Amino acid sequence: MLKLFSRLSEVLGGRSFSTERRLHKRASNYWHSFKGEREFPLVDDFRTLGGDFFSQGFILDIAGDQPMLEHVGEILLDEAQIAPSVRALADVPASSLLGQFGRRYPQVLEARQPLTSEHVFVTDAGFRVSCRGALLPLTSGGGKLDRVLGVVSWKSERVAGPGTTMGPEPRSA
Amino acid sequence: MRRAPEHFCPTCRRSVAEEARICRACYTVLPRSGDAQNVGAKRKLFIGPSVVLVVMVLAGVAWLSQIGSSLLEPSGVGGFSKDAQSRGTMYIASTASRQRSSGGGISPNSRFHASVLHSDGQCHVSQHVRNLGRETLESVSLEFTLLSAVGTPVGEKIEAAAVSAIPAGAVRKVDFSFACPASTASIDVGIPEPFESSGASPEVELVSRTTTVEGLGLRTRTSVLLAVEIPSVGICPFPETCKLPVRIDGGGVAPFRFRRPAEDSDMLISDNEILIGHLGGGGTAALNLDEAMSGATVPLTANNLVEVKQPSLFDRWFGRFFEDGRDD
Repeated sequence: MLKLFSRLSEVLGGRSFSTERRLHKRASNYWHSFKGEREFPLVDDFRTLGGDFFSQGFILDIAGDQPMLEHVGEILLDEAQIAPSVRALADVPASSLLGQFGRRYPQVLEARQPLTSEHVFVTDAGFRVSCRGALLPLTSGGGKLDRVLGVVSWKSERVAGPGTTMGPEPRSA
Repeated sequence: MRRAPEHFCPTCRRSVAEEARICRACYTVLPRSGDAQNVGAKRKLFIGPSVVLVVMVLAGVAWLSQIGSSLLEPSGVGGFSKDAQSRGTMYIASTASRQRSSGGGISPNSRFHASVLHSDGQCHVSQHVRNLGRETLESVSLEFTLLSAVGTPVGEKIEAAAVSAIPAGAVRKVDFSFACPASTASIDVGIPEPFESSGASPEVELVSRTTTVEGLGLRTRTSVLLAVEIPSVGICPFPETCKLPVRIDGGGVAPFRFRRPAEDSDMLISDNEILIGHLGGGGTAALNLDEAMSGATVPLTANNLVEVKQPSLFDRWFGRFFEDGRDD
């Protein structure tokens, strides 16, 4: 029932039903609710989720020799400035959010639990961007950990610097 | 050649690509161009009806303020009673108060006898009332000065005055106010008693008022209206006007337009300046009701002229506000 409610809530826009605003926290909650008696939830359960999960998330296929991008959200795709045709994680710039958080998948393989990590950087325009990502171990079926779902959210604020006139203005994504 | 519109980040105002989903300068997530249009469309979809709704609400409030007194304040007897007493003017109950049954009202098919009250040197005498309607009338009265009653048997004077003022066959419901002889200071007061309908033809209760009727929310170009109340007859379907024959000074008959101020009112209003001028100049007239309305003749005199003040919206609202807020 909870699973159905969660899906329904997400399909209908999520925020009207979900009280959790933080994306990484929501991801963790979904992971636990979808897991049930299994060790890992099915990746297909998450495919039905839309919204931020889709636009600010990615799915890594780690079943092969090297991790491959099975899905990359359009925002992360734009941020990384890569073509949608790029499949190998190795081809993603390491400085991008996708590169930063995608390359942390070995920690999930080791922990076999959802992981949350952070990354902070300052843009050339003087904005400090505080990122937080969640990496979730998933299975495509059969119970084997062969997929990793990552979601990334961030907020930015203008830091004091020459030529800046605005005060701190948090922006969250 | 038309130039493509530039796109800017809403946060840092830097130029961004049209299809960009993120501003790489401040990391603000940008809406899809389609989303922006959809937001605009939704905003229009929302704002349009909202504006219409607000305008309709304001119009409704304005309309209510125009007719507000008759709707929001106690209508009929209670409202007029208070008003008239404070002004010391003559009045009689509006049958808009028929729905009331409490407070000593007159039940249907009952007779109510006269009451005489003595206060401040004035006698207030109520002549008996017969209510042939289906609903309760409240025992509120028509008052007028009857100085000639002093020194004479009050009952005879009242009877004479009533007969002269009310056409034959009418149900009388008249209160008099006059200089009070000492001997009439304590006249017995009758109690309501059952009344059995005689099956006679419908009778008309004549009502004349000389109080202001601003509470009716009437609209008129003139400051004086002709008002006559003929309950339980149903003349002039509201809100239309109707032409009724009026005999001028016992001579010729001419049709004049009348209208009812409200759907539940039995009052007829005319703003005909000729008729009003005639009555105001001391002339007389009579409203001739047709056969279906018992064929009664309702005399019209200057007593039927009503001064109407149409306060502005500002006066209504802020006047009340200041009056309510006054400490006295």
